[in-house]
Amino acid sequence: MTDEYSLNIFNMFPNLLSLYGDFGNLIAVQKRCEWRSIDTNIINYNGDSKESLSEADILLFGGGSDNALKQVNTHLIEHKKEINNLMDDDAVFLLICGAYQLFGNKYITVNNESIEGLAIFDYETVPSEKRFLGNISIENTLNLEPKEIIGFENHFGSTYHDYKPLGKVISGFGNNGEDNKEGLVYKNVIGSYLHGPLLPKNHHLTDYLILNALKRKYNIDKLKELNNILENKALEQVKAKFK
Amino acid sequence: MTIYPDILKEFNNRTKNKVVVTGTNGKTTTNNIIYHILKNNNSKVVSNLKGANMKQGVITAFLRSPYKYFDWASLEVDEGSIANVSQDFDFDYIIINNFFKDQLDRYFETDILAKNVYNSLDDKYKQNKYFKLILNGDDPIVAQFQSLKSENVFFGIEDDNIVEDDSYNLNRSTEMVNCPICSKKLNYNKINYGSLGEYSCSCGYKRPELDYWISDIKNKGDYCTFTFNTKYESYENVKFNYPILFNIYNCCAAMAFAFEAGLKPKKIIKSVKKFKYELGRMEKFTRNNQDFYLFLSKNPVGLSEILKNLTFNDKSKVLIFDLNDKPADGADVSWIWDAKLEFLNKIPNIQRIYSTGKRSYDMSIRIRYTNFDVQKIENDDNMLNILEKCSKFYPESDVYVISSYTALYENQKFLKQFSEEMETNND
Repeated sequence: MTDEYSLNIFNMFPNLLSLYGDFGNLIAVQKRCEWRSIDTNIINYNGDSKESLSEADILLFGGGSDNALKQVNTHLIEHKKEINNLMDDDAVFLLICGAYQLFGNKYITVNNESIEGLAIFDYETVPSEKRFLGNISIENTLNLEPKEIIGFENHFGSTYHDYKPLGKVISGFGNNGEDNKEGLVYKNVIGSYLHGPLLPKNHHLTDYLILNALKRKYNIDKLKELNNILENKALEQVKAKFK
Repeated sequence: MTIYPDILKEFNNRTKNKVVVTGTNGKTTTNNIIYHILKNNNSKVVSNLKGANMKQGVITAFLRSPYKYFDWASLEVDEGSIANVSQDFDFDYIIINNFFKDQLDRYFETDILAKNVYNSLDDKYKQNKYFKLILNGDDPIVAQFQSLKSENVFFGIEDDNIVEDDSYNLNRSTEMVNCPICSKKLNYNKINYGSLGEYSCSCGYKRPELDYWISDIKNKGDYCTFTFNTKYESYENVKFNYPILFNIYNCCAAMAFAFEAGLKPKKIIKSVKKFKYELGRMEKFTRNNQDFYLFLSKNPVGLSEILKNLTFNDKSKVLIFDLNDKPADGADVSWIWDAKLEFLNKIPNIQRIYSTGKRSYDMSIRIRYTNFDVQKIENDDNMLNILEKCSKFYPESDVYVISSYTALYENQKFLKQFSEEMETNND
């Protein structure tokens, strides 16, 4: 592949949504493009950004505090139509933790405060009885190899929905600690509670996002293979924790 | 504690003066420097020097002390334990170093943690207990403690030569904090490290005027020199054995306290010059003329600063990262993504990087994603093996062991054993 391919990666609200190392997701996408000579154009998108969301090929949202999410919501609600259009047009979205909650109708905090969501998806998040905290392993629904997706979850919210999940919980809590589902897949939107950060250790998911973006923009259906020895070893190291 | 639940109250009554250090980074170092200064002043001092900083650790420090009555208690208290300790213990001075992201799976979010500490101190005032706050004015979260109805003094660093180059912030702004008053994004005129620097907000909140500050820092590799300033005097060319910026902040905090406590400037500066501690924090071991340095690294800003300091060091070197995820380390190792491992590409003469510990591959991946040469990274789960390799294959290199919390004491033992082995062999 040559430099003729270029992706616009929108790093969404980096000063508000960067809890728990989610910044690593941006690095993972950026480097795995760079290593394949795919040009990346990183846009740090904040409330006062001039760039139009419609330019985005990949949008990365990290987790954030309740306060941060309220601020993000205030900005994004004005761009709801653009976001919907992007989704319908198969743009790639990654929504981690708080951002995943924010795309639902509403979520209720531990202090029983109800925070309006963007209402792009039809679900609500309610407080759980305990904090869902720890290493998590799921079996992905995207037919990616290896089957496992691993990460670290840390959330008080329980989310219930009937969309396709990102994976089946093998060990950990996932969306709500009850129905064995973790995350959400809708067109090219991935929602997930997984930090870790999610993408660097799960190279197959990262490549899935990159490939989907290239498919949409350039009709490419295959990526150059990279060496993933370290990632596979990391998976083994984390898997050993569940035994 | 079950035997005599009021034991801490009793110790409180037997202590004339009390100083408490809290905040995310640098509690142990600051506390050690203060202890050293007070000791040199011939006081009977009790202190939890090794960093056991929850209530039980504080009590143990008193129980183990050779004294029955104390001139001074110098204590570090975990920012999550302030509420618990302050129920039974009063203080005359409280130093707040900084609030950074640290072990978030334990404490959740920094702003909530700071609020809890603030409320505990506010409760103290409501009980008419008075104390003086010694605050890091360069930290926007710490400086807001000035709104407590207390006497405050601010310390910080004023030195244009150490201001961070923006290119390494990569706009990740994970350390950036929003204004604690109005929640808007803070503007930084200068960043010293992490979220520390000269900040201001459109609402009017800004870095306060400093009462004590360090300037003119000269990094000499193994040590540094600086000027310590009060509003009335400047003390030039103070030598200090720990050149990393976060330790200079700790030193500034300790000196600000000592000046506030009315100790003699000459004695304070003499104590600082002599200060050295042996707790596995930047401890040096030598084997066969090869130097091994042990560092503690437990959160993003700490790790970034250690690496940044190595960019000033031209010697041939090997780095060892030891990353664990035990409860005391924080089970969530995602914090390494918030650290600026990108500095690795700016550190001269790295021969090899070894990665070890329960989450060694997380660290290797993190390093890979800085574009550092993967061929130079090696995973090995046995620290003694790694040390052997360093001495066999890289005898000309200095070795830097960068350990997460639970690995620190183990590595201290290994390094001690490793360096002593050679002494015995030489006999």
